[in-house]
Amino acid sequence: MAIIPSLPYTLESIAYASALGLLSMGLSLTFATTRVANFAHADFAMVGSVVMLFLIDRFYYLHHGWGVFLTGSIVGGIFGGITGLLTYLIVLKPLADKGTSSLGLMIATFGIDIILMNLLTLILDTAHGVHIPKLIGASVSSYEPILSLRGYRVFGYTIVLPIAAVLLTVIFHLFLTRTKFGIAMRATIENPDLASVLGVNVNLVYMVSWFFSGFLAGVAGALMAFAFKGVDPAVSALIIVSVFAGSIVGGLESVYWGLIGGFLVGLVEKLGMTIINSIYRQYFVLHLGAPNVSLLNYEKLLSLGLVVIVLLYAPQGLAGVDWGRLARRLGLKKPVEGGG
Amino acid sequence: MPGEDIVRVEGLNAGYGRFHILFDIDLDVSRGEIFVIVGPNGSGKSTLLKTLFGLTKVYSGRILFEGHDITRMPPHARAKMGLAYLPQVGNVFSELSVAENLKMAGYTLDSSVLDEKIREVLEIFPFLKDKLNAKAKTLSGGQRQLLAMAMALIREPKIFMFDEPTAGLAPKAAQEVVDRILWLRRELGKTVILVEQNAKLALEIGDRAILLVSGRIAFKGKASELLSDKELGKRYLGLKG
Ligand SMILES: Nc1ncnc2c1ncn2[C@@H]1O[C@H](COP(=O)(O)OP(=O)(O)O)[C@@H](O)[C@H]1O
Ligand SMILES: [Mg+2]
Repeated sequence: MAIIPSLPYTLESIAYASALGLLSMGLSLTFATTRVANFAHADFAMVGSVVMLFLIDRFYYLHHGWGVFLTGSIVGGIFGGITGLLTYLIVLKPLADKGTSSLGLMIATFGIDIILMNLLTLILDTAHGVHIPKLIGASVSSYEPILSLRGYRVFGYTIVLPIAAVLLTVIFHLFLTRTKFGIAMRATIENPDLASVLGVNVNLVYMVSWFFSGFLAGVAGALMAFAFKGVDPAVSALIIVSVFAGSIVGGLESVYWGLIGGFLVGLVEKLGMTIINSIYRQYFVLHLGAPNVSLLNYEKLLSLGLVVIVLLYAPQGLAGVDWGRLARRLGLKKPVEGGG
Repeated sequence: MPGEDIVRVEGLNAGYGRFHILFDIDLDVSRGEIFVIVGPNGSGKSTLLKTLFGLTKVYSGRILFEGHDITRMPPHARAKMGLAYLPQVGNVFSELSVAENLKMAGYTLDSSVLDEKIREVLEIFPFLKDKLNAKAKTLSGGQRQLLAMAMALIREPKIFMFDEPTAGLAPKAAQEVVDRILWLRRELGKTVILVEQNAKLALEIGDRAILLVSGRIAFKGKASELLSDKELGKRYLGLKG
C-alpha cells in the first residue's frame, strides 16, 4: 500500500474539502452579519442532499448525465436557501428583536438542528416504500456519470464540486464588490449603525445573507449526496463539527477565509488521515505489531487539532494574520519602507 | 433665512437606559453659525450630539429642527431631514474603498444623481481622486475625517454635527479639518455644531458656545466670551489664565 493516496481518493478528498469550504463560507457569512453561530448549518446541506435524491428518483432522464449536477445544485441550493431564510425569519429574528443574546441565538440553532434533522428523516422514511425505495440505503453514486482517468474510475461529482466551489465564490465575490446591495452587505457587516443611518435596509441584508448561506449549503449538500452511502440526515451532526472547524480556522468573520478554512480542514481530514493511516499500517502494524485498526475514523482529531494550532498562533484565525509581514519575515518578499 | 433658529432644544433630559446623563438642556442654534460645545471629559458632549441625532433615550423635553418636533424620530429619518452626524470613531467604513464609501453615502439616491454628486465632492476634495480604490483604513486620520465630510456632503445636509473631528490628529491635519469646517459655513452656508476637546481651537472659530459640566450647561453665550473667561477656562477647559 502506497503512502500517497490514489487519484480517485485524492479527487474525493478535494471534493469533500470544496463542500466544506462552501459550508464554512456560509457559516461565516451569517456569523459576520447577524452574529449567530449556526449549529443547524449542516442541516441546510442535508436539505440539498434530500432534494438531489428526489430529483434523481422522479426524473429518470437525469440519470447518467451531467445535467443531474446542474439541476440538483440549483434546486437543492434554492431549497437550502429557503430553509436558511425561514430559519432566520421564523426563529432567529423574533428572538433577536426581543433582545436575545448571541449565546441564546446559538442555543436556538441547536433546536433548529434537531427539528430539521427529524423533519428530513421523516420525509425520507415516508418516502421509503412509496416513491424512492431503491435509493434509500443505497449509494446514489450509481446514478451519476463516471469518468475513466489514467485507468481509474473517477466519480463525476468529484470533478463538479471543486468547479462549483470556485464558480460560486467568484459569483459571490462579484456580487459583494460590483453591486450596490453587495457593497451595502459589506458595509453592514462592518458597521450596521452607520449603514442604517445611510438608508440601508439592514434587515433585508440579514435576510439575503441567510438565503445565500443556505443556498451555498444546499449546493454543497446536493453534490455531496453522491459521496454518501445513502443519505442519512443524522450525518449533519458529524459534518457540522468540521464546518465550524473551517470557519474558526478562517477567523469566523470573513467569508473568503471561511472558504479557505473549510477547504483546509477538509484536506487535512481526508488526505492527512489517509497518509497517517498508511504510515501506521505499513510501519507500526506490520513491523511493530501495533493493533490493526483503521485510523480513518479519527479524522476529526486532525481538524480539531488544526483548530487548536491555528488558534494558538493566530487567535483571530487566518484572517487575522498579517501575511505581508509574515512573507517579509520569511524572506519571501522585500521589506517595505516604513512598513512593519 | 439666516439668523432664524435651525435647532432648538427645550428642557432636555436624556441618557442611556437608566443612566441619566443630560439635565435640563436648553439651547438654540442659528442657521449658518458655528455652534461650539466644550466641556471636560465625560461631561456629556458626545451624548448631547447623539441625542440630537436620536441615538439615546430622551426622558423629557423636546428637540425641534426647523420648527418640526423630531424628538421621537429615528436616526435615518433625521438624516433624511438634513441632519448629518459625524461620530468620533466609525464614521467611515474602513474595510470599503473610498469609492465604495462615497457610494454608500448616497445609497438612497438615484445612480445618475449619485454619480454627479460624487464628481462634485471629488472636486471639493481632490486628494480623494487618487485614492478611490484604496481602502478607507489606509487613509491617514485627517484624510479619514475629510472622507467622512465628503460622505456627509453627498447627502446635502443642512447641519453638520462633528464630534471631536481633530482628536488625535497632528496640528497640520487638524488645521486642514478646521479649515474645511470654516469653508462649509463660508461657501455653502451650512450650520455646524462642533464638539471639541481642543477648546481653544474650537472657541476661536465658533460663533456661540456652551460649556457642559456634568451634563448641565455651565455657560451659554458668545464663543469669544467663554474663551476670555479666565475663571471657567482655567477650571474646566485647561486654558491658561
Ligand atoms: N453607551 C453608554 N451607556 C452608559 N453610559 C454612557 C454611555 N456612553 C457614555 N456614557 C456615560 O455618559 C457620560 C458622558 O459621556 P460622553 O457624552 O461620552 O462625554 P464626553 O463626550 O463629554 O466626553 C460619561 O459618564 C459616560 O461614562
Ligand atoms: Mg466624547
